[in-house]
Amino acid sequence: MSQLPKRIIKESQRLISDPVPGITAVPHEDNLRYFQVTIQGPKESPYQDGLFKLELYLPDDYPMVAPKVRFLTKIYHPNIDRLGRICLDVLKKNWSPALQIRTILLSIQALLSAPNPDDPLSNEVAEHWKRDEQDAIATAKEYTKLYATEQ
Amino acid sequence: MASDQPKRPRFFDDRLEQLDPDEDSPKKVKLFVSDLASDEESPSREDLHSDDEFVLFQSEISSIVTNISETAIMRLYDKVKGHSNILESALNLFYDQPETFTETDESKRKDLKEIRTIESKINNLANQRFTEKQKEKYKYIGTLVCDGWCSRPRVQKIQYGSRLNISTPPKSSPAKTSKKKASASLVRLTIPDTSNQNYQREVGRLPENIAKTISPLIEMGIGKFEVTVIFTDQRTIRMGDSFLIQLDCFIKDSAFTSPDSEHCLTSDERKDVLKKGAKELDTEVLMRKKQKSLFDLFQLLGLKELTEHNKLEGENSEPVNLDSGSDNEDEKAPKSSTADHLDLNQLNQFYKSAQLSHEKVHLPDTTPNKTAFSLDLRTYQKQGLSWMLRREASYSLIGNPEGSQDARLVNSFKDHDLNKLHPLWKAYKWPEDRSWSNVKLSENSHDSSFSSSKEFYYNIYSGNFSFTKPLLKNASKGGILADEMGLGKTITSLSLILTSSEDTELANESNIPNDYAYKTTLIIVPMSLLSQWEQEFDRCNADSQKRCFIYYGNETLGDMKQLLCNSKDPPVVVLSTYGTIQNEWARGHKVTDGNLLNEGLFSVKFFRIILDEGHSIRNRSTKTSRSIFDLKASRRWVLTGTPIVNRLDDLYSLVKFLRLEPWDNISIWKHFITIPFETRKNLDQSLEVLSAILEPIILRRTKNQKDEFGNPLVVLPSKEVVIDRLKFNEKELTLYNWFRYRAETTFKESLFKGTVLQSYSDILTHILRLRQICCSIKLVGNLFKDSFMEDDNFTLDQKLILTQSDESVEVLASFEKKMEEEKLGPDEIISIKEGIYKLYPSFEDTECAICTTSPISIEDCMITECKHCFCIGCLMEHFEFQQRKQENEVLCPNCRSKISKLRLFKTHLVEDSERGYSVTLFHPYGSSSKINALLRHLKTIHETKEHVVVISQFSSFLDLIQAELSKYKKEFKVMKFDGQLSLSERQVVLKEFNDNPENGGINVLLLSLKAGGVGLNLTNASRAFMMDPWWSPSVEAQAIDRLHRIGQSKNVNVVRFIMEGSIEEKMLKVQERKKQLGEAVGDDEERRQRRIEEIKLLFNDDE
Repeated sequence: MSQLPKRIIKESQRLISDPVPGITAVPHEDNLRYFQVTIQGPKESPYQDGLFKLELYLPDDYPMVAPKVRFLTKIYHPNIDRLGRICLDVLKKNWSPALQIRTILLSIQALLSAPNPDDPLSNEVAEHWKRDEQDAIATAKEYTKLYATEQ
Repeated sequence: MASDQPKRPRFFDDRLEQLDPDEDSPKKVKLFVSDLASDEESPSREDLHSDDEFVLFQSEISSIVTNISETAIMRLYDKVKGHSNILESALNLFYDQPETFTETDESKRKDLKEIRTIESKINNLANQRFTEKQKEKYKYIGTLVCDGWCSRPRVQKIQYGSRLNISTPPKSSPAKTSKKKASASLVRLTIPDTSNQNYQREVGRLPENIAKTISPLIEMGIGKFEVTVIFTDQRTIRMGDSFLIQLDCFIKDSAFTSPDSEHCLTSDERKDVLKKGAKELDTEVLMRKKQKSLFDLFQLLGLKELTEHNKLEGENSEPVNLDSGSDNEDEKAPKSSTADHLDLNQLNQFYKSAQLSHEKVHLPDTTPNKTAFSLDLRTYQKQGLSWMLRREASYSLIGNPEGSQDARLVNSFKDHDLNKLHPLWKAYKWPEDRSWSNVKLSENSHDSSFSSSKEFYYNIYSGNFSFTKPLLKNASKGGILADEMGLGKTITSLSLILTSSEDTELANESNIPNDYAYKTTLIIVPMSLLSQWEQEFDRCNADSQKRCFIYYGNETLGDMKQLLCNSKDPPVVVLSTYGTIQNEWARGHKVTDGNLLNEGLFSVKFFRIILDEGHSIRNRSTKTSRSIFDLKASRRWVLTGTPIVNRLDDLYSLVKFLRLEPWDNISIWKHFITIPFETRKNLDQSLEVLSAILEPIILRRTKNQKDEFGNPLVVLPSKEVVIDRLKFNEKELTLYNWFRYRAETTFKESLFKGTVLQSYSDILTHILRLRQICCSIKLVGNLFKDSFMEDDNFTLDQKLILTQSDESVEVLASFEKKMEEEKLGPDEIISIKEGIYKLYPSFEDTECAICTTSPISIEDCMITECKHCFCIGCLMEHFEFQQRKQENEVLCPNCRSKISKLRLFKTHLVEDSERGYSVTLFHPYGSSSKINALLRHLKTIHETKEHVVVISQFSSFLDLIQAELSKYKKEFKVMKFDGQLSLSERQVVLKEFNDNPENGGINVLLLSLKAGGVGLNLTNASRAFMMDPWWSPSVEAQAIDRLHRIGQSKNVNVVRFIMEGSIEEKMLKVQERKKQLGEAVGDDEERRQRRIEEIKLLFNDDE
């Protein structure tokens, strides 16, 4: 493992000292490029009261390439598939090295507030959303209760 | 058959013709008195008084010719006296012309039968004497089975077991022995005639190679040979047929002399001879002939020298190997044709032998006393100290004070050293007597009384033999410590000085010679190492009484006797330089006409002299070497990592300095080492002798050598070498492809025409050009035109290729044109600049969004068209990544507006302006990809504060790097080390490099690959960058070893820059190939062929 770039160290420190409300990101002890992330479901969204676990990995070429992020908690969302993969432009084509872990996680949080069934990753969920939004939201809430709330 | 005899054609008897002054008689008779017998007789006769000789002659002849008158005897004696074998000659004369010697009538003429009986009497007499002598005088040394080839047709079968006689044609007179004749050796095999045992019939000859070897031995009367036929397959043998014979070899007893009576030319004698103009003394010619023949004979017999380690094996097994006898000398002859230089393999072989023998000898540790020596030695250094003490015969100092188990070992050293065989003598084991006469006939006629002693000794120089062991007397004290660079030769020798600082043998003697500085060691070092030695001495020395005196500059000349010999506490060490010694010596010669001064270093005899970097005296005829030879001392040491720089004679100087007898005599050295090596005849022999000479006096350890427990001698921090593959930028690629096309065309054309070798250097120049472009396109073109033109290493054609920049400029023009369209117009530039100045009154608040550095340093800052700031490296990397993704447009990381490399601005520090900076348009293709990559790496290193060595083979490239790095004065302190620096400048640069800069920046040393010279220690650095690959991987490895050596405390990281898809990648393949094949094998032709293959590899696109 090559030396950790200064930027990563800086970002990690700031994530801990000045955390984003509703988001935690903790680097793994053995691999400082691997982060364990939690995102609280935004209020007034089907994911409210849920706590979603994610993993985030910074590839060697970061920040020239985007981090790799994935939901670990099961979630019903038109832009997130069954494996937790996220369809988000800033993680793909629109990545810019000026973006950071913090901004990426904020974008994901925003995605939970505003699902975008027109640019779906999971076709089934997206169609459900388009066909009967209320019913889809209900399922999402159910999922949240089932998988993302501690009981 | 018997009836033919009187008329026997003369040509059968050529031997007698020469003995007989009047040779007209047809009735000449051949006598069976072999040459050997006559040789035996002649010396005894010479000793006799002439009167006595006559009496003897009279009695001998009258016992054969019964009725010969006294007058006839007198007359005969007059005729034959002075002949080597008067009896034989007289008889010949007598029977050839009996009428001359007989006064009486015809009746007294003997008929043939009577003659025969007389002859047989002579023969019996001679044989009897002969066998007597043989019984007491010859020692069996071996048996050879070989072919004899028939020179006379013969009807009868030669019986198995027939004894043949052996003879050489006698030399008529020295005048007649022209060179031609001397070289054609001839040994005849004769057989007694069946009908007449006394008549010898020639049946055949010995093969040329054996004849050449043994005929001088027969002639000189040193050897005797018995021939027995052991196989013939034909009933009748014809000319040219061969039959198998057994040749038993014996050495004459009198050849064994006492080793003390040895005649060996002293150098003075030799000088005299040279003055007289004679090339060689006659005795020396003879000696050499003898020595050569014996050596060859030993080879043929497979007699093997008894050495220390085969001695034990030899007790049980038979050392004489009959099968391995024949002449494989030709096979041994090397194919190489390179002058007198050693090739690398030979050198390795030689070094290996210097190492091996010492691995076998278990050296005890000697820990220097803490009160004398303050450092801790490594184990191998302690062993080195033991070895040095042993070489000085200071046995009592070896081993640890409390360790008694070493005592026996030390005693065995002592015994061994005192019983050392003289190096010119070799020991051989007596072979078991397998001669025909002993085994088959059980005659046991040979003297076996000596078999009680198991060995005999043979002098390889004079060819003499001895029964007793010749000992080496006056062994010189000292030797060569040739540990590999970085193993601490300095420390080891200082431990020797401090452990044994004065001549204790003299301590009890009252009358110490008044010019003997018996408490002082003189150390001679290159000027640049003077202060280093002084520092090391102070570091090691624990005894405040002991001091070190620098004899250099103004301190020179002065009453050394007073200072060193008559003072109560003289300095333990006098440090001086080669230059000082040489100056003083030259001055001494001028002032006192050859007598050295009464002052200064030459006026005293030192206890010990140590030469550091001892290869400085490798040329024995330089003033420096000659002055060093003239210094007086009891003990002498040479420290050098490279005892042989490029030729064997380099060692002679060291041997001469060490006064290693007898090898310090140049004629002996030349005879055994230089001449056999240069003529390539006995190459193995000369290397063997060489290792035999050096084995006891040289100690060499290498870094990767293992100790007795299998651990490496030196454990270094780890070393990691990674290859960083870089991409050309567009401009570089354009130029590279153009040059590559040209190079390939040239190569393919010459390959097609078969003229690769003729245009070899041109092709190499093309390749050189490509390699330069890989480094920087600035290395191409007019910029360096002048330097190429002045360089005589290039031919005019090559210079033209190197300076063909006009065309390359054209190539670039089209590229530039494309760029032009993208460029900003002048108005745009001005407005953007103004915008930037407005936006950024200072740079304190800037942050690079990519690496989060804040603020961005002004030297490092790039501003986009959209006026966002980034570090230059970060932004370039961003461009690279985006282009790799085949994105047509590269967007600003901050605002996602389109950006282009050609539309960027660079900030510059301007100290005295209000703003403190200025901006200019950025030129993206200005500095090379490699330099950019280097900068990128250096930036990360800047944080870890490791010092850096940047290595390139192009000094001009280092200049470019220097220019680029000097823009970052705060971060890097840049120094350059190349071949143009003088010795003192080098020292300054190295000292600077080894000090840490005050501002906390890092040191960057730009090192030219070839200038990485002697003793360069760069352990202060732990990072290295190889800017360009070299053909030979070992050269690169050596450069890296400047960092990765003893003293290095950190892990060493090396980055090698390689341009992707370029000739550099192919060079890596060539390196790989070289690693597998080994570099130094083969002759010129092979090497050339290999080069061609390498070039093919370079232009091979298949992979």
